Amino acid sequence: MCEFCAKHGQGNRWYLNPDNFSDEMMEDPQRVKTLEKVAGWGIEYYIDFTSRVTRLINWPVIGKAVKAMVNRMAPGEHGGQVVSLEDSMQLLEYAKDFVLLPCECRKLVGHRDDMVCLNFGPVKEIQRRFLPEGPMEEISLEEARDMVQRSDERGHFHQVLYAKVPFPICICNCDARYCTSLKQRWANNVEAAIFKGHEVCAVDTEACRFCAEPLCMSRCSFGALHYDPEAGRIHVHAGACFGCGLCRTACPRGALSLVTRESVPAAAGRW
Amino acid sequence: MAAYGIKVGACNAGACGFRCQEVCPQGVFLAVPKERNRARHAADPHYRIVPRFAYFCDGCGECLPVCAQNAIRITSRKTGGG
Repeated sequence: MCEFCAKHGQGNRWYLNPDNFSDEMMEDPQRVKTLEKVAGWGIEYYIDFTSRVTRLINWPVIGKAVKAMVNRMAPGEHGGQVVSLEDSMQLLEYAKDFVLLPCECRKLVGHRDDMVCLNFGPVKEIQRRFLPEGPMEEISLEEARDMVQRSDERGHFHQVLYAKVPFPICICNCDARYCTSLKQRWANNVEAAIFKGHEVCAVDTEACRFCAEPLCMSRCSFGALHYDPEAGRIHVHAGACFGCGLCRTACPRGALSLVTRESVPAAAGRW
Repeated sequence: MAAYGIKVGACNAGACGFRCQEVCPQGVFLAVPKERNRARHAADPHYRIVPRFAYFCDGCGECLPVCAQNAIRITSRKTGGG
């Protein structure tokens, strides 16, 4: 169990605990400060700032200290964790006030305007206050579910964003090419930018026949699936798997499934 | 470390329509606001392009012909060992 769930989950995952969605969470002054900082600066400034800071981790002397500082501070600020489709569907049940905003990562890295950032809770009110004329689309729970489902089919993985753990504010439908959190994690080795999910992929070696066009491999954004030449099967590199579960839906034989992270020794305790 | 270094010089982003960002298959370029202390509700922030995620550059060179100012340079870095 991850440390957020142990502290805030009450026996469940932290983002599936209904108490964490309540309005009382906004009484924490540090949380309000974080939300107002991200919205008030503008997300483009926030992404610029965080990517500048995490880049320092590669510097020779101060790198280790910066890394320790970022990993300690990030859960009190803004960050995310990868979630599977089932978990995001369940999470949507507890949330309210859904709004669609343009994905800032796609905008700033790929110059694309995609309304795929599914925000909920206080974001509507905060966005109205700081960016009244900006693009925003209010949607219902059904539309939100439909949107998450469609992104999953398209091959975008989901992550739940928090504004100070354990307060979920957003479900991202990320594209690994543009996702700035993933880029910061991979380039600078900073785990707190985006935590791995609670599950990892496992392959049923009896069922997998390694088809001519393995869709599971092309749907994996993290490069966690490989061909095992000895067995002629798919092999899951559990250390690289983020547990998004996109590969499962592509397998015609149902050979791939998600198992809890603790049950796989190579991935246990690595978030 | 990354095998390629990438530099963006005199960039007039916006005038060319962010073509390098559109063609880059790895998402190396980040658009950052020019004025650092500008409030969010400023109508149209001006961006400049920085190769913030140069770690991911695989040296394909797609960005070179689309840059109107010829501002992008790709250099190969010596990777030790081998």
